[in-house]
Amino acid sequence: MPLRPSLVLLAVLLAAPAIAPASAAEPSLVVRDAWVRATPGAAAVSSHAASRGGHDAGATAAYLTLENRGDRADRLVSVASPVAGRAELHESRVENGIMRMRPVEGIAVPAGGSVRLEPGGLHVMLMGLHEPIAEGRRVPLTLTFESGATLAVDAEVRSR
Amino acid sequence: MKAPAALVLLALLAAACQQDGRRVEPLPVPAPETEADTGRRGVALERPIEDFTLTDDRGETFRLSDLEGRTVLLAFGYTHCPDACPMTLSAFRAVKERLGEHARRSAFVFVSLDGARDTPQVLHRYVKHFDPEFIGLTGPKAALDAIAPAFGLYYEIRRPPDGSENYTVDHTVSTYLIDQQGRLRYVYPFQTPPEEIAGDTLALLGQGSAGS
Repeated sequence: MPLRPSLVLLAVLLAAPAIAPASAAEPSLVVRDAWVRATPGAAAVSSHAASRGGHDAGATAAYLTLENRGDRADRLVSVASPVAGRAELHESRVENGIMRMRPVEGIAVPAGGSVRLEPGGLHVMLMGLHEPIAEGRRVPLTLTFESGATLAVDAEVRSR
Repeated sequence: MKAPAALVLLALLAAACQQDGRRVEPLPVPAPETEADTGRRGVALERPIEDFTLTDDRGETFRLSDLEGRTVLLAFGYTHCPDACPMTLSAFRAVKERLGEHARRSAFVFVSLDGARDTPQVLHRYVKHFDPEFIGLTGPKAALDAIAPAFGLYYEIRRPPDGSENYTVDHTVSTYLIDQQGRLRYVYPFQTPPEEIAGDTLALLGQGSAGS
């Protein structure tokens, strides 16, 4: 006899805590104040871009604060987002009046400490955007750490 | 045979200096720190800028001299610039707000260094997002290279190792304030407070709070 979908769902829900015991503990890595800069001119081109598959809607940056409440240092090693073809960890640095943006291998989050990704410094560069990013929506980001931990966050879109 | 890098650099410098048979003094690079004694970040100078021609964000021919009689706040960048350029243009917007009614005697110009991706149309959407009156300029590499010495401009396209089109552009990130006669008067480092730039602009417009 086929199982009713609701029964399957119930079984999954009951099993979930056993599958992911880590989630029962207080998470040691926390993301705060995650935001993505709206792409300039997003409102004007959104319908256009959506109708043209594969259109490059440009690039933008995501910023956030990482807090490590645990007693082991960790390291943010990658970020993924469904809105971008590619996401890289970058650092902006001004040398002799020249802005140079470079990929960084990872971003260390010291035990009991925090690190800020903010305009003009460390940021997540979202490249090959599939569509313009307009203010008012949210952008899902998945953060992966060296320890294997992952965090999912819905970043606010801000126009500034 | 590969020439030693230093020799190539010397040749390039000599070429830059002898442009039009005149020596172009290198532009001072403003220090990123605040001057301890004055609290200022911009560097004051007075240097005529030779008129130049680029294409504006409506696809029309644009000359710097078109803006004579107005102050011009100018910066270089590219629209795929995710971090620095939006910060610069947000600062332009903050300067314009502070100018109040005097903003109509000021122009705000963003010059793209990425002609391949920044068509006038793309540039138009970009600058107008920050302010409907901001002007976007673009042009072929030769035109940009011709104006580079006057602004001490450096730029270089950095292609990723995978060879994809997701390249970035290293570029001079200073902001320039040009007076009503087309003379370069101030160079500001990245993240100079808009208050300072607005104050200098008002002074050039004869509206200085210092009582000019």
